Amino acid sequence: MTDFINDTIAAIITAPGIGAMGALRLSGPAAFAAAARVFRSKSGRDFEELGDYSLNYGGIYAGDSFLDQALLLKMKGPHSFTGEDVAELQCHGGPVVLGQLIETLTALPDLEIRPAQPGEFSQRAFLNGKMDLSQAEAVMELVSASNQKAAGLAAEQIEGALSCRIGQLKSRLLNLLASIEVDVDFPDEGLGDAAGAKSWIHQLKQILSDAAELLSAANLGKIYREGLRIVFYGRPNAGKSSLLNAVLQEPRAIVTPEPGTTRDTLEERILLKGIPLVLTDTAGIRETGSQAEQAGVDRARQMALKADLVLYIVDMQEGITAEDGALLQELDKARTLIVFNKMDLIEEDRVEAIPEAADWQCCRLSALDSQSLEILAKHIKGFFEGGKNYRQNQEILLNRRQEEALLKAKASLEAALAVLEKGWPEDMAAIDLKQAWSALGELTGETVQPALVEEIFSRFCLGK
Amino acid sequence: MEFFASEYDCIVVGAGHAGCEAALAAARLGLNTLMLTISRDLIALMPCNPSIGGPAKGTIVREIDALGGEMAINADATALQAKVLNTGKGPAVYGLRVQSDRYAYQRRMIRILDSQPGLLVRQNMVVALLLDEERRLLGVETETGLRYKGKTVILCTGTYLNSRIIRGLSNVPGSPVGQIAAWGLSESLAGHGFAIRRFKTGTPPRIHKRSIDFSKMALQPGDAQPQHFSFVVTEETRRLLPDLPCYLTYSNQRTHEVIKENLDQSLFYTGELEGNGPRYCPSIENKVVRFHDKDRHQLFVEPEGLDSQEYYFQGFSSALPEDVQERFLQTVAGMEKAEVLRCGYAIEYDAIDSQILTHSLESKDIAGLFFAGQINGTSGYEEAAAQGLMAGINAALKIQGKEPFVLTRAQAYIGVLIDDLVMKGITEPYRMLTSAAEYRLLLRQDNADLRLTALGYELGLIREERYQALLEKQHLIEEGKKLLASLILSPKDPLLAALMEERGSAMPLHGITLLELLRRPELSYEDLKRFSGVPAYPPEVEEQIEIQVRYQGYIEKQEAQVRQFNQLEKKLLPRDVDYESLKGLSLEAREKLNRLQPYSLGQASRITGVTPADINVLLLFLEQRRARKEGQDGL
Repeated sequence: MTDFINDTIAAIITAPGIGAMGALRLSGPAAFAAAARVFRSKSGRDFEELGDYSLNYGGIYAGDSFLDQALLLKMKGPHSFTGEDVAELQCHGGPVVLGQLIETLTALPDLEIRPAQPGEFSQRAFLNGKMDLSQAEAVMELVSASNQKAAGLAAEQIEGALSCRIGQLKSRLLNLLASIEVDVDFPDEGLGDAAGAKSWIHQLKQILSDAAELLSAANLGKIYREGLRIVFYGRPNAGKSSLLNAVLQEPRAIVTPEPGTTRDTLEERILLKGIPLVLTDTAGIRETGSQAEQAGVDRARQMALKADLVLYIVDMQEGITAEDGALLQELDKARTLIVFNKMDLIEEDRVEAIPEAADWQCCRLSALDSQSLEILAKHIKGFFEGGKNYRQNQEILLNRRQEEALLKAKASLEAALAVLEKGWPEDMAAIDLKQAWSALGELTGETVQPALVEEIFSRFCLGK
Repeated sequence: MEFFASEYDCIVVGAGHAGCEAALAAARLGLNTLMLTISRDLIALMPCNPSIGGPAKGTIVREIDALGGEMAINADATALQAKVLNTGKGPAVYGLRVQSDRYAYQRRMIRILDSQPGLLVRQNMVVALLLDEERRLLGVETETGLRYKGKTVILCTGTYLNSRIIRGLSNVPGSPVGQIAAWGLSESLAGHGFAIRRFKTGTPPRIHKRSIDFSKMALQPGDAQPQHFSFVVTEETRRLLPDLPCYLTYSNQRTHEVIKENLDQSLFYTGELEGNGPRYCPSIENKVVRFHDKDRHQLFVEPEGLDSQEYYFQGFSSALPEDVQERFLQTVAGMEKAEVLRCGYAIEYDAIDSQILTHSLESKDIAGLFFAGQINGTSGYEEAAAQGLMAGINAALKIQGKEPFVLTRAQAYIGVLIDDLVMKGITEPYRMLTSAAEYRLLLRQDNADLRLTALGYELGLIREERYQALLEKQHLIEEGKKLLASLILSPKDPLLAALMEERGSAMPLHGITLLELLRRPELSYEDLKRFSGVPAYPPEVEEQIEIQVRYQGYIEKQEAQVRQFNQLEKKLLPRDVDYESLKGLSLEAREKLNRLQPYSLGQASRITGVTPADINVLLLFLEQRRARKEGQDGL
């Protein structure tokens, strides 16, 4: 029986809908034969004569009827994306022309071309050894990247940047494990580390700090992918919605002088100085009899707890009240920026008297002033780059699965450290260290997880 | 048809540690068994160190015992000293090691073999394996021209096949016992298409007791309360021989200098011989060269027997010329006047490629032909004995028409050993290490009986009485754990306060069960006996309760890993795949998968050269194939 890939698949690889251009990809042993049936080169050359890696201008036909002008990209396996013979046809046409083309191709009686499944091109690339699992996942990230930085990170990972950093961590872990294993297996040889547990603890702490660094690099990567979550927070009528509108530069949130206008959270995304932001306006926090408002208040509290950065807005006409003090108590200083708002409404001489809490990050502005956006942008960028572990160009991109694996590894490393510090048998530490090793392997695909492989490709969209 | 002297169910070739277990298991399982050995004086010989066990190896010995083998009892009955290594490093890596009287060890084993009904141990050298025209197994032929017909044949030739002794620049046929080597059989195997490879090992000099100054060495006594390998302690094994100590000394800079100056007198350093030697058991010259920054190496002096004047010099294996050995030997503290009784040497011998075997140690293409021990490329008595036992059992099951008996990596070190041999393949003599066992906390030496004795009973190698004792032990362990979980102590209990004080343990703030208390490493089951309702159990039951309770968290972690391991073991690979067509696989993986035809993805994942990336390719391939099949079925 036939074991493996021996059929040829075809799919439209551009997004559905009307676009300036549409493309269709064929991959498999009959890709060239099929392309030859629908493509005629302008130069009049036969398909076989076209270069193995060439871009050719011509027309596409259904039988004898001309469909569209087209470019044919011919790539001979194994040096192609999938590792098989690949032909790509790019034409002006939208769904109608491409649909006709697909129909024509799959109807060719002798070639048995079939429509590709989602992710099937990447699957073939993987099965043909053109990429590893983490690269395959990165292809997916790249396709769905929403901004340039995230796309750049995904592209780096296709090149193997993540595997490289995990690899460094793994090799240090392996050294430590080997030292313990030698001590266990060769008690007579005196080959073990003379310093024993003490040296192991030292090495382990190093590895742990590397893992922590990787995690914070991943957090940065996550921000590039998902956006920095900023929550506008404070008492009613402090000017949260006005400030949001100022940042968005459009009147997105309804603003009235009435306190408690914003009942629900409102989420908007923008790119500010290259940093993707997810801005959330919330209901002002106050005791209220209204159930609807109370629900909004509860949700606001929740959002503030989960935020990367809380903008705590204070109405300077009232100054910092006891209620503000109480609300600030609930927040994390490191992730909070106090915005003294409505500075234009107070007298010059009162400005000097603002009681700025020494260890809180603060800024002063007036939401309605054109300067306010610039002031806020400067502070947000400062917060982002001033983060404890921020290093330029050190970001990595982890998806949820990879992040979980890294967290799992870190937890196992911590367990091993506890074992050694408590003076428990080293074999228990070895078990934890091996678990950490295996979790790191999950990140790069070196630890085989049966359910994962199928799942990864099932998440691909069609055409990749 | 050619003439055959007689016919046997099973013919075992070789009477070393593999051969002894193989022959005993086969005969005990009812096979009419013939054992052929070059010399009856070589039965169960310990040609290298006179000790059995250590980390991992000791666990194997206990597994052999749990399955009804002989090695554990034989070592116990002839022990001069017993010592548990690695205490404090975790119960999985404890290694009991016994110094046995090597002469007593042989005598007892010969007695056991000769008194085994259904087994005949005969002196004759096998020179050929006999197959018919269709490559079906017929039997063996001896040096004297006798032909024996065997339904099964187990080859346990140890280090004797075409063996050569290398010492200095001399390289002559021979074996541990002098001039004797086995000729003919290797050529016969090669003629039948078996690839033969050359492995190497070595041994240190033996020194006359009267010439050793023990006062310059550190005394290494055995444990005051010596343990036994066998789970069954009898009158015979209850410490009859006096405790003979070992001694520790060190090599020094002078020793290393003499060695370095004379490296040109070793065939292994002149480049004439390569020999795949065991990295884990290097000669002293290899140690000096490889660990050149170490200024000394540990050396142990071990007694060979109660009536023997010979002392074994562990860690000092050498293939340098006799006079050079003597010179650097005498630089060692306590060995200044050493008189050498036997010189160290390296030995080279023929082995087969273990990857031609199935997990039952049977040849993949000649049914009924089994291989066990050093011929498969392992080193060590314990590894050999374990294979012998498994080959003997499987020869019997073959004749009885039953399924082979295979242990998994999650069941036993024996399972790890054999899986490594047949799937991973080896390029140097294989020594069992605890680090080779992924789930070693589950494969402890203390629970080998709990893991395997019921299997031994099913096979018919464990007697009813012992099986009932096992059931009783299991019952008591469970009962004890339940009891401890039900007994709650109040923090006000004065007995508790006293115990916490005594052991420097933190006083619990709330009520605490005795089970929770036992999790504390500073407390033992013995400590709990002061509380009312805590019974005294046999020591082995108390030990189990203690280990199972104390390491419960880690045991559960390993059990979870085993479940993960089983996921891949259960993904079976179809028989009709041409891996050559899977271009995503590395070249090496394609070649090896086609050659070894692993049964499951799990097995495939352990083949050296098959990477996780290859396994991912196979996973996706299986998935696609399944999906396609379902699609077809649906049509």
